[in-house]
Amino acid sequence: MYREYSRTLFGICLKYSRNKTEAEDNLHDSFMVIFEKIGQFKAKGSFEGWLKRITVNTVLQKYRKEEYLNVVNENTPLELEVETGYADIGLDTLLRYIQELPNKYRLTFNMYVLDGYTHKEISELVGISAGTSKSNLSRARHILKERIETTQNKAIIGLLIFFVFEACV
Amino acid sequence: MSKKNLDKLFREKFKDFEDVPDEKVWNTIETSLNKKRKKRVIPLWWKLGGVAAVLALGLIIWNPFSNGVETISTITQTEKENTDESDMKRKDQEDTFQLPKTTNETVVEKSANEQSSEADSNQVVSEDTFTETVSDKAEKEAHATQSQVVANESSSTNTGSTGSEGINRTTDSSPVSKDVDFKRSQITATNQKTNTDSEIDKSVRPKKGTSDILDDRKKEAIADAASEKFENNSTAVPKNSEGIAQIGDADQNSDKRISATTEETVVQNDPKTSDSNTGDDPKKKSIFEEIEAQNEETDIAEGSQGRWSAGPSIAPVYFNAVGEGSPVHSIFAPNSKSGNTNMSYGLSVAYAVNKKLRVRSGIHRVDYGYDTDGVAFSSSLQTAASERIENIDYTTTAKNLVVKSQASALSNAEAATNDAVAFEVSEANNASRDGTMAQQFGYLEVPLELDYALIDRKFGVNLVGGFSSLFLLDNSVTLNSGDLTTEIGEANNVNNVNFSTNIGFGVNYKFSPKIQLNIEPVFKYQLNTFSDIAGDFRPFSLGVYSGLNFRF
Repeated sequence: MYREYSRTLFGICLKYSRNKTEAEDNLHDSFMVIFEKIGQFKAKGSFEGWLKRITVNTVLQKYRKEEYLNVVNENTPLELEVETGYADIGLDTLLRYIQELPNKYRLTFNMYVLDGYTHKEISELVGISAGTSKSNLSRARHILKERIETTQNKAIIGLLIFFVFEACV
Repeated sequence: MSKKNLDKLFREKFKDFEDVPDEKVWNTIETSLNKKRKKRVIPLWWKLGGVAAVLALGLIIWNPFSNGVETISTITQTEKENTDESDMKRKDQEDTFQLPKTTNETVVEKSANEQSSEADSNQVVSEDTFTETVSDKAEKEAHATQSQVVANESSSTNTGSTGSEGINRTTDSSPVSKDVDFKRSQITATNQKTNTDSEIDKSVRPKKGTSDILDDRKKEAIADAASEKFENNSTAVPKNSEGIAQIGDADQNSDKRISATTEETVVQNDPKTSDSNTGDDPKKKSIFEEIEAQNEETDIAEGSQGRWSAGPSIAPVYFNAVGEGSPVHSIFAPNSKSGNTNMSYGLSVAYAVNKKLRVRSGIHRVDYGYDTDGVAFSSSLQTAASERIENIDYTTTAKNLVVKSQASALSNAEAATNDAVAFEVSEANNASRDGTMAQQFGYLEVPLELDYALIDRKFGVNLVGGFSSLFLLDNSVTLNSGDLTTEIGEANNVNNVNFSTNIGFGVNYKFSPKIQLNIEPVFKYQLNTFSDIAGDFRPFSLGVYSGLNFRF
């Protein structure tokens, strides 16, 4: 079972953790919980889904204990879709951006965008209000957008320099 | 440059995102699991040992068998020195088996211990935890019931090699044990490394455990299946591994299962909704079936071991007879007889014809004895030949003994010459002692029996039937009065060879596939023991045979 599911679950851990080492620790802890609770799994719902939920919950618990800045800003616009242009950005880079987000933003972003939880679910699992969840999401998006665009801008500038250089020569 | 929705960008990139964790992560998981399991095992054993000890005490206090007859040999069990040597990790269990030969037990326990220290599984180390005097079979049976109770309570009573087999074999397991079971079997199934310590792998892997086959199939299924999406636009249809669904049906018959995994395909279609993949249900629930299935597998592994087994056996045997009569002399016919209990010890050998049937033989030294009550004896200066009991060859010292039965008004001499004039002399002058007349026979018994296993799990029940040949080694007739024992001589009407028909049942406990403990009460009806009987005297014996069997 480990062999089958470890990859998927490790993927989850990587998304939710700040770096690979943490992700490995979280994977270990998740499996400990899984093995312990395996008897409680009733045959309703998907096994993989159950595993994922346990993994996510395990990681969430880690960060619940940590101090975080609980900025409650109810005025944040809802469901803001952010448009951004993009050059082809590598998966690794995007993953790194996610990992480098502040904890709560990262968790919220992952849960909402990548794993499809609702704000209500997030608020229950993470221990924040739904409004906070939304603002976290919004902030996360902004940060990510910024980083992507910066990278792109750098890329563009690099290209320009290259072309200028070409032109001069 | 095109604009793209940020969310969408990330979603697409991280769709099916997975990564392979380092091998070391699994190592740490495994280590932690083992540590946790070991910790959990010990409290369990403490609990079981406590319960068993209480039961043992209770059964000692209330002795179901009030066999007033003094037993010839009492065996005092001494605590084994092994208690130190035995695993610090294991709790001593109640003793289910006692042998006077401490060396044997030491060896057995040693090997049991070694096996237990090797394998990462729950173990039972049967040891003496208290000093006991074994005087009658009551205790043996008490232990038999104990072990059964223990079996019902305990969730894992396996020793040595096959961990998953033992664990899963119990009928009622608590959820805790299920976890342990599952862990165990999963670890076994997924642990590819050669773990020389655990014989579990040894027994499972050569079979290319169906669980391995299952794992492969599962991998296929997973690979085929799209990962669960919580989005609404999932079009994935997870496919389930066929073998697993089949296992759910055929978890009893391992052969069926193996063929099932190689043949048919049962494809479960998932409903389109992403939230509930009910199609995966058979797969999930059958994981537990898989554990059971793995049992059958280790069962096969077990069966392919040696068919021969041998081991020592010891039994307290109670001998008595039905009918009113006496093989000694007719005047003792009306006397009451009481049976004696003696020890029988020997070696038994068995050959397994098939999984359920074994043929047993062996050689045992057995003593039978019984007492005739209400006997008075005295010595006279000179006894006439007619006063002697014909059926006894008197020893030189006993030539002057005259034995009378208090139940009968006549002395032996008088009975012999029944219609003749009575010898008043024999009655009047001599002070006679009252006591019992004991007759003892020593045989070498060679049984030939069939052993049919009714239940063949960790705790098994079997039926035994057959017959034995008995070869007389010695016999004696003695008179007991209080502390005084006087030997009369040998009976001469005991056949040198006689037979008995045996029937019985037994319970057995398999410490490991190679080592088994039996406890069997067997009733043996003796045929043609005596060549000359006055009256109706049909002897039988009832013994509780306990033995240890080693398979090779």
